[in-house]
Amino acid sequence: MDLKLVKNILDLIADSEVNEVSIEEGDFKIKVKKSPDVEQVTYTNSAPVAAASAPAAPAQATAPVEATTSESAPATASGETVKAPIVGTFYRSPSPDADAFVKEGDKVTKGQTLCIIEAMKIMNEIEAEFSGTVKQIVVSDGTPVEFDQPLFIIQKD
Amino acid sequence: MFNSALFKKYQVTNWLGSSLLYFDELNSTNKYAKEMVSGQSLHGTLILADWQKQGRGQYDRSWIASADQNLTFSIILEPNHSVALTTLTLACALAVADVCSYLTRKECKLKWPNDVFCEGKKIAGLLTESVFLGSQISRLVIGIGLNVNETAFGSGLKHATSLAKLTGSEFERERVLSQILTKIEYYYRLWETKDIALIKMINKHLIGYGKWVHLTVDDKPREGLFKFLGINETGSMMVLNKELEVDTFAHEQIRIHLD
Repeated sequence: MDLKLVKNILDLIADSEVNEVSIEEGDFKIKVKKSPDVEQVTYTNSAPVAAASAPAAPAQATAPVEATTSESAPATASGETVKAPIVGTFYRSPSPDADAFVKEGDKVTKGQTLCIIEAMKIMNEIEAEFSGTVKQIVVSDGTPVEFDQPLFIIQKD
Repeated sequence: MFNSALFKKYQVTNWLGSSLLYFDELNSTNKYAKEMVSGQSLHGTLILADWQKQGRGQYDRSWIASADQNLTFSIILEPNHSVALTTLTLACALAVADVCSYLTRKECKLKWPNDVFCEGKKIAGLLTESVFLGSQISRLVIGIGLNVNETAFGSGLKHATSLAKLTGSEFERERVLSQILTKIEYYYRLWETKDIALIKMINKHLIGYGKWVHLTVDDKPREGLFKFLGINETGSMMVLNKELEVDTFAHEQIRIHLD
């Protein structure tokens, strides 16, 4: 990935009146969202990428990159997609040594807890909106998830 | 024992705490609040336990509260949006800090993201949990533990304090609770209407706000100093790095270290 290209994109958007833009080319995907004073950059890429603020922040070059790379498998199963309602870290079980809330192939009923998304010390339980069968768990345990990122594929009853 | 009738006498809120569920002892008020089933709205319901057997901090870290000495309660909220839940936790912490400052005549401040400190010691802690039905928030539970009349803290709680310890006098828990709820109701309204004034009030009370601090992000220390800019309108925490750029953190585990 070309960091110069990323910087050019950021500069271009900073100077424009566009508030949000997604660019996708092959396996390179960049999403830039402008909010007052702050530019939030989110990358999804199968190859490791530099830290989000890397273009202009060499001091952070030593920072680990996993926070900005998504480890999601592509959603392939058919069914309804359950998406992340908030940004945070995805957990499949209530605590590290506990059993997962659900496994692939499990039947779930409306209101059943599917996972926890933890953000800034707030534990958010995500419950099923409908009954069905868990076809696929798209995200692996302990990974950061973005707003609206697919988490589960559930086949409705 | 907590006197519910006395509390009702002091209560001046419009909706918060109008429905009060009192327990002599309960495993966890947050857990109870999360699991409560009802055909009608539970918005504003207060669950209070004189003795919380499994009061929880972050990651199920347990702490023990003595019976009859402190305030341990949870409030149930059914907000109309789920933007900046961290701000709401801090808004409730601010409510607690306001009341503590007023009662002790000492400056009580917020320790980001969910504690209240006075004279360098912890006086209150909050734990927020939410339940989403699919993409919609259905319930928000804010658990609050405030040390009121406790004065004998064990060796593991060297950094704890209480209203009584700070002032040398005992307080009526029913009245303290009523004062806190009044403040929470006010700040909740600011949060719900996304009033920017709330952000300013919170930031002004954050320990380290505007100072150069060290950061630990997801258990890894970051090199160099960062100027702590408090929270923004989305509830994300902001710092200025040495290159004078703003870094924002939306969900990482962050610790702020003051020198």
